[in-house]
This record gives sequence, structure tokens and C-alpha cells, in this order.
Amino acid sequence: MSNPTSNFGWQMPEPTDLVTDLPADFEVFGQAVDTDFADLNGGTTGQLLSKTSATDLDFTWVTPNAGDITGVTAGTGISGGGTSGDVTVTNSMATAFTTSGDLIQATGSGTFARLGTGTNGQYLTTNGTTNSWGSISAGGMTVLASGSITNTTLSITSIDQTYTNLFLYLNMTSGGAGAYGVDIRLNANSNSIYSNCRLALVNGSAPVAASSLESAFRVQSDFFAAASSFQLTMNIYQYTNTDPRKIVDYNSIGLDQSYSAPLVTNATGQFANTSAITSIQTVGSLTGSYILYGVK
Amino acid sequence: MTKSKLQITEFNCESGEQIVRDATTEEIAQMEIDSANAKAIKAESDAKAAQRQVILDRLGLTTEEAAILLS
Repeated sequence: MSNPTSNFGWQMPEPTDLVTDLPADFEVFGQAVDTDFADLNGGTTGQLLSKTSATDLDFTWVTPNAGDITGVTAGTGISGGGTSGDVTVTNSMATAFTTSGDLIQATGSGTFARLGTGTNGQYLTTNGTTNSWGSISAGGMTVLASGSITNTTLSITSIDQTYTNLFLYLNMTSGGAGAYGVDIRLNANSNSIYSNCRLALVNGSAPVAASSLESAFRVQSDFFAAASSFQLTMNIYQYTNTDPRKIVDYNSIGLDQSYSAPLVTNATGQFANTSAITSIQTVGSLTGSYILYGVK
Repeated sequence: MTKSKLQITEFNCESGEQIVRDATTEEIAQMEIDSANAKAIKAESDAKAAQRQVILDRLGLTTEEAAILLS
């Protein structure tokens, strides 16, 4: 035991002190304790002892303020809460996230649910009420037929009926053997049901500006000469429609066999037949390549 | 001289196969009709062109001059 005491430094009697000095020594000791703890005097019911300063044993009796919070209630989006002790509240929306890429979407007023990320390439879509991950259906153009031909007519048959439009591309190194040019037929139908308005130009002048009903869509045959080469683009719209008015537009450009004059056709036509288009034929022999696309 | 057979290159979208086959009798007949029609149209066109030239010659105009008048 240290003397004075180790924490408060109160002086106690020494072993060598005379017995007769003990009362005085205790008086010193007691008074020191009394003085140091003087701040503990007083106070009243409900009061708390509060530190007055950083000085040791410097206290003040204080009356605590009445508490404003008697409970914590978890509201929307929050869980936990309580009315006593340590209270924990948790952001429920945050804990709904479990995996990288998660989204939170409302399921109603004040409610929500996790929406896990979609798979690679998916897009966020909606049915008007709820969002979900969906794949975009393939659009654009799909090759239905392609190949090369050599000095023959071309027939593309059994055309898939699941597309909206057809797009035909011909890239020919020669077309229209002899004096005959190139025409296009649908469903091998040779009746005069091909209505078309076209402008056929040779080197800028117009040998034909026609609006007529013919047995094929006339592409290069207006020129009465085989082309040394020509390209054609043809759109056939709503080809599965059974309405007897299927609109077609086509453009072609070629060169005559002397390579001196461009042969150009621009036309809008109509195939006046109720049958869905299942095949396409050229009229006139061709050499070159072709592609038929289905267009969504 | 042996006449070569008329042929058709056919692409079947369902099978994805392209074949070259001889034209059927019906197709050959249609080709002959198409050829005859083309020749008739060409003959008509040539006749019109000849008539046009006769008129131009009578007027003493070139084709280009006539085109300017009509433009």
C-alpha cells in the first residue's frame, strides 16, 4: 500500500508515527477525503452526477432533460426499430440487393422487389406495369436465298412466309441474252397483272415513261438490248398479304454492251393478285449473283 | 447444229439448295411467248422510231433538236 494513496494522494499515518499522533493524522486523512468528495453532496431524486470539468472528482448534480424519443418505428423501406435499449434500423431497400447488377423496382405503392440482372445482351423492357429483362427479337434483314447463276433464268421458290417484306438484289455481269432484256415475275405468273409506272432512261434520255399493265415487272427489257452488266434492287412489300394489291418498287442500272450508255429504270409497281408471293422468277437469262432477303 | 436446252437455276428457300435444271415444257413455252412479245414490242418500237425519223427528216430536225423542242 502506497502512502499517500496511489489514486487520490490522500496522506495516511506513517508506520513510524506516534500513536498519539493518530487522531491528528486521521483528521488530516478524513478531511482530505471529505474535501475531495464534497461535490457528491447534495443532489436530489432523479438527478445524475455530471462532470463539471476535466479535473478529478469535479462533479455537479444535474437534472437530465426529459427524453423526446420513446421509440423508433421502422417506416417504409426501413426495418428494425424498438422502444428500449439499443435500437437498430436497416435500409430494407439496400438489403434487397444481393447480387451485382441487381435493380429494385416498385411492386406497388410503397413496396418493392429485387430484379436480378438479365443475361448478356438483354434489354430492360416493360409490359406496361412491370419491368423485366427481355431479348430484342432479331430484326433487319435475313438472307433467304443467295447464289450465282450462269446464263440461265433464275427461279427462287418456297419463300419463307414469316417476314414482312422481301428485298431482292441482283448483281449481274451480263443480262438479257440476245435482243431480250430482263423482267421479274412473281409466282411464275405471266398474266397481265403487273401494273407499274416506270421511267427507263438510256444515257439520260427517256425511251420509256410508261404506266401500264404488263405480264412482268419490266427491268431492263425496255432497252431492247442485252446489258453488259446491271444491278437491281427490288422491294416487295407485304408479300404474304392476300390483298390483291401488293406494292413493289425497283431500281436498276446497267450498261449497254458497248459500255457507252447507262440503262436506268426507276419504277413503282403493283402485283394485282391475291396469292401470297412464294416464288420469284427472272425473265431472260442472267449471269451473276443474287440475294433475296426477308425483311422484318 | 444441236440446240442447247434452256435451263433454269432454281433456289429452294426451304431446303436452301440451288439446282440447275432443264426448263419444263411449260416454261419453254412461256419463254417463247415472252420472246415473241419482246420481239413484237421491239418491232413496234422500231416502227415508231422509223416514223419519228421520217417526221424529223421532213422537218429538217435532228433528234437532239426535237428533244429540245419537247423538253
